[in-house]
Amino acid sequence: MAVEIAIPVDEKVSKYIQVLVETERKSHSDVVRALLEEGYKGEIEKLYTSYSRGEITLRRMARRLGLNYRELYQLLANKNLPL
Amino acid sequence: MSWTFTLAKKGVKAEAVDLGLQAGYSDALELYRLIKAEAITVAKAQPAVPPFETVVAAYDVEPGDVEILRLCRLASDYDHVVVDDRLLYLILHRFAMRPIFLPDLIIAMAREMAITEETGEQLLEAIRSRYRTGFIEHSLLMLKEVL
Repeated sequence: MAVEIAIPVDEKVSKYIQVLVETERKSHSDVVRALLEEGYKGEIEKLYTSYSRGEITLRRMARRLGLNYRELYQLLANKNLPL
Repeated sequence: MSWTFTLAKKGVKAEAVDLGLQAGYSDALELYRLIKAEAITVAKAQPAVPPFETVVAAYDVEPGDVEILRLCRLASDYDHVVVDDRLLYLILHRFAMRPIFLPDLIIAMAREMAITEETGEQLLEAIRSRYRTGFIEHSLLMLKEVL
């Protein structure tokens, strides 16, 4: 389910977004959405690395991502990340 | 040998059954039926004695993980606790709580003839994608008693 979020951003970030809008010829929404998704992917990778190192449990990873246990299992399966 | 299964009430049951039913997972419905038929027991884990609780707190794991540790400590008559989580497996092992992986449960059930070898093989293949390469290959040979 998609959610709309309105956020103020720092001027430097705003300029960066504008550069991406112009060079990639995308809308502001698409650029910000892509940045957020990259950030989310990065968070998954970071947490998965922590899990793989035995620093956190799967339940901690799930909580940090805002997922329940089943959803996390599904996410890991979708990304071919083994337990 | 008869097989009985126990789920920790708050963590595992909530994750596997309650949330699964809400999301419409068919296996959650099957688990629910098995619980209603008392083929699976749901147990509540109470906090234990201070030294144990102090160490568990130091491990800094999630409430669902803590519930499993407490349940294993209180239950004296179980054989194994099935867990796929790396850190939790290690903690359970350190407490001598006899953790096993799901593939190991499948192998044990096949050896005890609770399921056929063929079914065991099918189950292992079905969960292959969950595990790093090597685990299922090894498990298949264990199933056939080659290793």
